[in-house]
Amino acid sequence: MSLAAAPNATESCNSFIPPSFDVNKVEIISDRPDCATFVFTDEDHTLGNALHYVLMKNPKVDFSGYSLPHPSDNRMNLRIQTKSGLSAQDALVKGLNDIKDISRHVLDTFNQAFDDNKMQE
Amino acid sequence: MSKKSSSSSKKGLSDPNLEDKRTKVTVGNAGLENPRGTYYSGAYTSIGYDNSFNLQDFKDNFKVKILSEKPYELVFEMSGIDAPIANAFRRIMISEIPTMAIEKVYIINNTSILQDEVLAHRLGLIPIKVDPRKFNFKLPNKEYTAEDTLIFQLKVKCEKEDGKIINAEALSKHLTWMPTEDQEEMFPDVNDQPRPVEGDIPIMKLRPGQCIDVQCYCEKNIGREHIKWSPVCTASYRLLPVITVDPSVTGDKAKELVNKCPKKVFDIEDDQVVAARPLDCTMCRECIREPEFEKTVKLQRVRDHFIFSIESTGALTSREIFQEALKIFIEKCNIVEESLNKLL
Repeated sequence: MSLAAAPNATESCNSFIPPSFDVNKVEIISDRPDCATFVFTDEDHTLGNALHYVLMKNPKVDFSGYSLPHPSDNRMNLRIQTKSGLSAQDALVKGLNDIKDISRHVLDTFNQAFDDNKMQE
Repeated sequence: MSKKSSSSSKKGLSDPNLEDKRTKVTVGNAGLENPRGTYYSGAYTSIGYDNSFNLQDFKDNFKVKILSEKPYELVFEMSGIDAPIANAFRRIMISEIPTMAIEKVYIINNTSILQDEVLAHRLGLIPIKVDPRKFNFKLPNKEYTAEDTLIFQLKVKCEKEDGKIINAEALSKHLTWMPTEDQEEMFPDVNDQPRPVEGDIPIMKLRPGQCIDVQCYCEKNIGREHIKWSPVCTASYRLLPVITVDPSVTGDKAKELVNKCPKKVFDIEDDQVVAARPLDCTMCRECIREPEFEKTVKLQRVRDHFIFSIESTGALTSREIFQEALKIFIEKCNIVEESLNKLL
């Protein structure tokens, strides 16, 4: 069985770009270290709201908020303002690490719950 | 807030009203009270509660309990986690876990009464049982390769034989996998070989003389692009209901309240009404409709206690779907971090 030729560019209507580390995901708009707007490409409420949440929970973050300027635009804006000498970028990195820590713990606990279930049976 | 308050002072009960607002969503006759949580780190300083994020506190409070597991349906409880994160898990399960689905259909012959484009659309929606993790994403404008494409052939001809009609229905089991190059080695076990999840999905009804002869090209993609790539039928959560009844409700009043509930949530124990099966509660509010009961029955939901239910289409099991979602969430953060590091 041989493969047919791939359709031409005009025929392919998919907009999704497979995840890779090469794409430029974030752009920073900032003129002061303690406040910045991060413009994310191809992100939505999933990361926006989660980041907004962990950032608000950081005592060194004064303000964080996110918006999706237009539904047919694949951009998400995240605004961060910090205090106590933490830079907005460091706050974002800490937020990302907090999300990763949470996810890792949830994964471990979820797997553990199945093991416990099996032991009981 | 330089020093973390100890877990005992985290209990913060100095203001029961505010504590109630912090931990619960109240359901009233007029609607919800405090549906939106407050996540600002200093929001509850007045009641001595430190609302900032602390990994150790999170680990101490977080719990998972499996309620029921069938191959394609999983129900579990998750407590000690806030809505933005739980919602992110749910959103990823629906729209960001890759699966394989039919994307391009080459129509060689179609004399059925279904138009070509409608037939192609129907074929696309058939869930394919194959591990998507074995494949790559097909890059736009690149040739098909054995690593990113699966080919299925659908060749059904309806005929009349001795007065009997054969192949009156083109079913999903008629889709046969056509391995290319070394694809057969990718699936050494016959049970793992790519096939539709269910064999009895009708694609089209045929009459004698009609036939369908098409070649279907499966690609890997995510649910955000088209729902046919979503690995779940539904992935949803609801908050745990808590129902408290005032001890003053006794005797005939108690019986009246028990009978009011269509889901039979209440029981009478020692002449007192107790909510014995809160998980069955659908928040229909029938119990608080009458003004006298509105004062004595408190309908609430716990803000950080989620009951997830994940129903899979079959390509991955529900358990794998949740595990994949968490891995994808971590990966998303890594990509952002990598991109940030490049800017510095």
